[in-house]
Amino acid sequence: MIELFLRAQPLLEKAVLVTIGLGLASYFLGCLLGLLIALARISTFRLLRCLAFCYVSIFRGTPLLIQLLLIYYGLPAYGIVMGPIASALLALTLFAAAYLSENVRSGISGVDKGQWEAAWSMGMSYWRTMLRIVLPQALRIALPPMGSRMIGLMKDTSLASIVTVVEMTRVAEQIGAATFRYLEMFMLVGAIYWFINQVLTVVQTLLEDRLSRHFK
Amino acid sequence: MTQSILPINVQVRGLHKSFGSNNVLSGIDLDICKGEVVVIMGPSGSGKTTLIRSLNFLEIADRGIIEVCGITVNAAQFKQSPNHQLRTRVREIRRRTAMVFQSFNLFGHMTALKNVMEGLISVKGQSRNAARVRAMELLKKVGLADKADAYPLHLSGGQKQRVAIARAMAMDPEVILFDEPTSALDPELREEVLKVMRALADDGITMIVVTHEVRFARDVADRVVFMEGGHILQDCSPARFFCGNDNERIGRFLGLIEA
Repeated sequence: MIELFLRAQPLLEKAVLVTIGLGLASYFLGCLLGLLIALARISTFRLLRCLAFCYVSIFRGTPLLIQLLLIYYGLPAYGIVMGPIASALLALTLFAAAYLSENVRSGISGVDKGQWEAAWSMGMSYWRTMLRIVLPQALRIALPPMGSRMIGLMKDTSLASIVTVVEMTRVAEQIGAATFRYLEMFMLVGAIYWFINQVLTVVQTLLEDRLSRHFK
Repeated sequence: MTQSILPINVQVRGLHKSFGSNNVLSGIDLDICKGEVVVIMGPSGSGKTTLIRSLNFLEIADRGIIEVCGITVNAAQFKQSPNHQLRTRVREIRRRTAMVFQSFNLFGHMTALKNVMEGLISVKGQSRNAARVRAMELLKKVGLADKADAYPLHLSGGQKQRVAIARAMAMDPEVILFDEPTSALDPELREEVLKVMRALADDGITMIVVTHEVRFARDVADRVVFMEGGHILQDCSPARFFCGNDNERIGRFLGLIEA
């Protein structure tokens, strides 16, 4: 057992970094895109609302694996060729943005209408009100579901193994195949996923406490 | 009357508003002079809140002309096609007025001080330091300097409303609109808010107050406007309004709230 782990260690070390990097990067990009989509979804412009609605409908309504395969194996047919990591990053970002936009949108609509009215009655503009008054409070409301998304996304990175990204799941598979010790290897990476997500859970709890300090 | 010499600050002509088949405002005409304190009374559903919310366009009337601080907006036009010019005018009206709400609406993620500073920074473009000094002065004025760093959650209703008044004052408004400012408060807390409002009235600012506070109306108001069913039923001095009002409907209303 020990000798198996020692053999896996150098590969796993890199793979853990790839998994965490892929998860965090697609999450933050997904948050940015999700915020823009949420703003489009509540915009007064019909076209923007419609586009945002379609986006969420498509990327939330189809499997992540299909999106990933389309980008990696499908797009080259149109001359768009991306490496494995870039493909995985793009797919995870687009997928996460669909869910995160809904979290942000529900956060925004959860802010009391009186907050808008108070800002408007002072002569503040829509965007100024959104930025300084509504979004900070919407974020507090949206934080728990957004945290769950982060954890979900960290696990979804395992699908990147399908398009040859050398992340944790792929390393487990490779070493498992070479040694016929699939059980130990998948148990091991399963435990690492679990550990990463426990750390994220703690961070989320701390953030929630911090943001809701003045509201309990 | 001496009031007619004063410049007119708020003018409303033929204001109509309905929610579905319910006519909330049916042709309101109203002139308010600079420095006047006008109390609007009436039973619930009489349209008084809708009326003052129409003045700063938190509610958009179906038709009618609204002129506030010399800025005129045709409500029907604004409702149908709120183009850039009309929106700029509405913004200008909002900048030159302020509103105090029944439910306070303090910004929940900001301290009392930051609440008062926000408009100074975001609307008046002042520096943080200048805004802090001014906001502190205003908090002192409403007796809450010691609560500057408290979040709304830790303030009583009366304190919240006093912060809200300080926040409104920070905008140096020509007109302040009060929408039932004491209705959510118990009697003791009401008194502290009314005290601040009386001080404001002494400063000569134009105040339009929707309230059921009889004593405030009697002692402070220059005029009492009584509304029912979307109409103005009576518009007169408090002395005439409260002492032997010959209107039977108003007599009944007063009998109920003074009892």
